[in-house]
Amino acid sequence: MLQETDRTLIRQHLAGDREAFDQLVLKYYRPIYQFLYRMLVVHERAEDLAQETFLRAYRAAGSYNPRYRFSTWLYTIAKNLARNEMQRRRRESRMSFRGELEELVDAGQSGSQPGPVEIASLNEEGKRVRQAMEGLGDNLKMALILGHYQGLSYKEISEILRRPRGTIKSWVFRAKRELIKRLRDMESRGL
Amino acid sequence: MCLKILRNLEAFLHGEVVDEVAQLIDIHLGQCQRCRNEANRLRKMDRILDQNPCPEPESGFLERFQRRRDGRRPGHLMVVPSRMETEGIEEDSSESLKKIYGVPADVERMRQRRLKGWLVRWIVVASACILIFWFLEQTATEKSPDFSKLPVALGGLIAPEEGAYLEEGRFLVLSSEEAAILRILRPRDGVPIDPQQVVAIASLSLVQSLMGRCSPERYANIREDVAFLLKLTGREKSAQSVPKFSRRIDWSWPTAHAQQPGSEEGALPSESLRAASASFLRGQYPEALDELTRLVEGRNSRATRSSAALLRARTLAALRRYGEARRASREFLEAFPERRDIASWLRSRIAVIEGEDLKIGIQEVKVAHSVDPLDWLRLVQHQLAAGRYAEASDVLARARVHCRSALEQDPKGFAWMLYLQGWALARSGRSATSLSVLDQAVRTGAGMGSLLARIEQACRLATLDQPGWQEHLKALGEIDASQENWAQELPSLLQFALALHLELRGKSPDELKIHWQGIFSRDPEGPVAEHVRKVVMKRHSGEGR
Repeated sequence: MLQETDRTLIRQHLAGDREAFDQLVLKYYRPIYQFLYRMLVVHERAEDLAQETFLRAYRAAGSYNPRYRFSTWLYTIAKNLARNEMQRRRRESRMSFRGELEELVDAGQSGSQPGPVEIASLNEEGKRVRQAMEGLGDNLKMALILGHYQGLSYKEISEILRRPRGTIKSWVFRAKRELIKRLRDMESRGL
Repeated sequence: MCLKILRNLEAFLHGEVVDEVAQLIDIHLGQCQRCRNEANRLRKMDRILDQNPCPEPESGFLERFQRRRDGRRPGHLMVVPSRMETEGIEEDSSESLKKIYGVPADVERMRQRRLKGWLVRWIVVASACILIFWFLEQTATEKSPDFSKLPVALGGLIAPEEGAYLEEGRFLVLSSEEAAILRILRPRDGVPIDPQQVVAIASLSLVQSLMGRCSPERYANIREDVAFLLKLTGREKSAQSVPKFSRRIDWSWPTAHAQQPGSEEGALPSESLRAASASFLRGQYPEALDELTRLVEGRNSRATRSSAALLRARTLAALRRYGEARRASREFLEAFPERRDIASWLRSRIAVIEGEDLKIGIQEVKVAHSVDPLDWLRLVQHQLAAGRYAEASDVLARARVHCRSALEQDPKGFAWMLYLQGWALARSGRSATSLSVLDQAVRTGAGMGSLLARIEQACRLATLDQPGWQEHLKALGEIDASQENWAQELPSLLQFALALHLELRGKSPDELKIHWQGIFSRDPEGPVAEHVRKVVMKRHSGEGR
């Protein structure tokens, strides 16, 4: 039923009804933002990329395949943006030399340190979990976030990450075991 | 059982298994402390994850989105002409802005600098790739061992055809063709393969490769451990089939035990019998048949005549002369009534070969124009079942050429094919070629084919008394099980298999302790550690006294 509503709204949007898409934004902006936040841990970037996700969906609504859920499509766009962002971060952290202008532009945006909003939202346990999650590979992290926090089924995750269901099952399991190991290590080191 | 449960535990906790499976897991968790602990650990992790809150997005998300959608970014508000408002959704606003106002000079410079940077990086990466490729090519040819210089000297290295005879001897006894069929029937890497089978293959092959090189007492101990390994990995049937120690093979047989006329059971085969069996293994059936007929009809020992008659019947079947093969098996029973068991095995074997040959004929027509590796593998499956190892290895070599483009897309499939070819070559008496093909499979580093090739290579090297087998097994023990969500026990099991192998080679308990410690440090409460503590260490302390 929910899916039907989404499809109807998309049809209306394609027919020129701008408010129809706004309803979809209102419905999905929270989960998409939260997914991006958990991936990137920087509030501004998560907000920015959440907006970019909807903007891309808005522009490419004509290419939406109604065989899949609308939310799956949105998550796929968000996942690609998050992956690009993480790659960019890694690349930049590797580069020893950057143009002055770029440095200035990026200074306020791309730091991986949490800002005041993030710090306020984290308790001690949460900080440790966040730290442990930082070390997970992109795929494991995404599978865990989509499965545990976003509450998606393995089937939906497999459509978003374009991997077989069995692989997703294994990724989520491995992510949790990896986290258990990391948290235990941190505990033993007194962190 | 536990491994299957662990593999599905996360899905069970996530509510993603069907009711029947959920019930089974529920029952198992009620009975198994270890799995219950694992489930509790995962549940606890879920609770910890729940304690990691996420901030809410700031209010006004929709308004900010609308502003961005309509191109009303701060700073752009003053310059966006009104026509942009009307054409809105059809046009990419940022592109339009560029069209109207052009790109600022500093941004353009920055973009050019970035482009240059990328160009330089690509050139560097491409050159590095070319260099690495060239280096690998060089080292590949340099490192390939020269197996052609295997000395025939005894007590040391064994010539390929002699090793092959021993392999074939074991083969006849163990009917390993069944194992061959099992191996080939196991799906390729696209489909999950049970890691337990890898352990089973590794442990069984290890024992078989060194059978007869130690005392019967020691072998009995090893047999007990291997049976434990197999039972633990759910292969009770294989545990029963671990061969019992029959007699110690004297590796100095060609000179010290040269076959003397009149010598009876237990005597080692004559030069001619070995030559005939080597011809048989290499698929040179007419030559083998001539030699075997001479041996059966000549004045030879009963043991030689018996072995030759057995092999002659098989050679006739391999030549597709089934009527004569059946007659030869009847004659064999009449001449050697004490070997009734072998005779009945021989009859069933001839029937299998006849049936498989029919399938080979059909499949050969199918593969004539096929570029699908699976078609070729089916043909090979029938050939191995019929014991046509030499033909199977030739077919695999042809398959690699025919299915080249498909295999280029599928490195795991390619590794699997190389592994099978190496396996078939070893059984057709071409140990040297087999080792280099297996080496290629190992180097691909892709999937199960590469892993099994490593096991096979270790066993081949051990059989031929060549150095390097330990390194292969060590590499197996270092497999990162977490990468494949494999059984937790796999590294411990492989390390145990390695310790067993070393024990077979007569290493001292001190040297074995390193491996036992490895097992203890990995999982001190696990079943492998428990077995080592309760059985293996106890046994060694008993031997010490």
